[in-house]
Amino acid sequence: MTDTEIRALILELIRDIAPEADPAVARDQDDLREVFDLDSMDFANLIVAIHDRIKIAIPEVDYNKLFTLGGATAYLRDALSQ
Amino acid sequence: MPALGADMEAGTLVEWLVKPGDRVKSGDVIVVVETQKGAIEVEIFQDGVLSNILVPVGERVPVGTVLAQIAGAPGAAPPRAEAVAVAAKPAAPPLVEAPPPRPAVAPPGQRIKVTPAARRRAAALNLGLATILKGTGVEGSIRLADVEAAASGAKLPPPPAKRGLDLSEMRKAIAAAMSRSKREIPHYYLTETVDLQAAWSWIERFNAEKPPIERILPAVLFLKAAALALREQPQLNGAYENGAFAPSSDIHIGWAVSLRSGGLIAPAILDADKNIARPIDGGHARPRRTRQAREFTKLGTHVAHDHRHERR
Amino acid sequence: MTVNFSLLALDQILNNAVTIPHMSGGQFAIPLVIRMATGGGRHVAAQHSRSLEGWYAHIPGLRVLTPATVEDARFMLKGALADPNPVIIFEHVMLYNMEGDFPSDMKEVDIACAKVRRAGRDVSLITYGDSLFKALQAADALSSEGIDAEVIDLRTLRPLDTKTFLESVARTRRCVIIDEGWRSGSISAEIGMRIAEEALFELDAPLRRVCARETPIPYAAHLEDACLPQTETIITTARELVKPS
Repeated sequence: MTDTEIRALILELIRDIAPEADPAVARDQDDLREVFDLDSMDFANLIVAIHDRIKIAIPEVDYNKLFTLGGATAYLRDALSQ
Repeated sequence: MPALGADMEAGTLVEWLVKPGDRVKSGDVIVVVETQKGAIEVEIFQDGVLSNILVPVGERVPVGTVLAQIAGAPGAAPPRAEAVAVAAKPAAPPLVEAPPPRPAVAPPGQRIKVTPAARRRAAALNLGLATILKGTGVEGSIRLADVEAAASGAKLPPPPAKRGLDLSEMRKAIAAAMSRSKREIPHYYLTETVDLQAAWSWIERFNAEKPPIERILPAVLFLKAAALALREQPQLNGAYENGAFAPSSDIHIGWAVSLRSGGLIAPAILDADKNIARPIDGGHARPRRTRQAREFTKLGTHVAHDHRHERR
Repeated sequence: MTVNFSLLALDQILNNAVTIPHMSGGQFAIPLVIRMATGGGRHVAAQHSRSLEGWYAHIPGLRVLTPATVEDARFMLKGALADPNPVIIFEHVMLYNMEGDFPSDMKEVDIACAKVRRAGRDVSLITYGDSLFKALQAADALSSEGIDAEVIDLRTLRPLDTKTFLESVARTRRCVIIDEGWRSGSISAEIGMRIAEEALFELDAPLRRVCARETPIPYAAHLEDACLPQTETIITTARELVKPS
């Protein structure tokens, strides 16, 4: 998957959790939880959705690496390449 | 009731001077009537025996009303009963209202009194006025505060079939409930500092071995702790209803969840004391959206909220 | 001059002063200002204790002013004199000895608007003249019971500033009208009716009035007190609306 595809996938999964969210507003450095008003439950559901979709089980200790859109894209790119 | 003056339309019975069975003769004063000009004695113009009194003391009747009947007048008196009062009925119907037929009329006060403002608010809240048993307003009228109290006591209105929950109505109901709660329930606040390091470590160990779907959030521990505390302190689990505490045998914790599009629901985590992992399961994603919220509206026996501790 | 003497001049006031501007098609202005003392409370018996301002307020073509505060007493006269049409100023006899300051730069007051003299949320006390101060006293007493009363000073009875009291009632949803005139056919009846016509659906309690008893005002002080609106009656009436017993 390219970075663009990963980024689109993350935003798509967020749309499932926050249907009213506008993906266009997210920049790479923004905290997803702030931009899309995700609480801990929403974020956990995002992790679950990522696991369902691309079979990557992100350990809890790594959650903080996925708080930004850029960070999440990079993390998943690395995970997929392994 | 004779007309005791050209402008008299009605009179009130003050006193009967005879009783049924009494023999009366023309010229006897048999009854006293109160008019606008004062109390006036009324004579009878026939002989006979008073057989029946038709108008009791205290009643106000129009001119022309039969007050009593006489019977068995000796000699010339006709055998049938005849009116005592001989004054001609007024040509025009009397302007005073006719005396109400006593048994047939509904007693006053049967109608539910509702202030205009309360009626309008109830309509806006889609709240039936019949659900409000007692008004606290003037003359027992149902007023705004009663409607708001009833609205906060009622469950959320069922959503219209097509649009999902009506959030503006939900907002109103929440506002009414919260205002009432803040206004009527004595509040107290407890603050306690708890070292959560052990709990945190436990969660980390627990989650490390689990796939994402089975991991639990720190909030779950608070809910579990609350549930276990309620098991130890059952007097905190239940509700005050009709002036008495009604304890609940089950521990269902209502978890306040704000809906994304505004509004708030408190889905109950059933048997939370026995059921620890429930909040993380797939279904829990749903309450934050409105459309499926209905299935979560079962009432909790205890409500917890605001377990915000992420973004640390 | 107490208002009762004006009855001798009713023909001149109502038939002439009020109608000439109208009947002359506006060719003649009648810039007449009449100041009268009104109201009871001085133990001067029935003829000198009348409150006929509501009566005069019935007449189109008149402006009827009822100053209560020191600045209104001072400056309403100026506004009245500037009016090309007949104006009657009713000055309550019990207010003549009142002293007070107004801003030194104050030059005029409007003569068209009612004023909220005390803001409140629970009930509107609508009044004018000397009763304003009874209403303010009542509002103070009510506040110690947790009832927050709003006090409206009508200031002018004709034309009536309906907007101010309708807005007030829409906020508080309850009202007591205090009027030293007799209840029947009074200015309080007019105010109550306008509320019923235009703000019925805002009401959360029946309309209430505190008026003079329907009798000539007695000479004896205790009887006079019993006849006139009193602070205590205002308090009880308002309390019953907000917290029915």
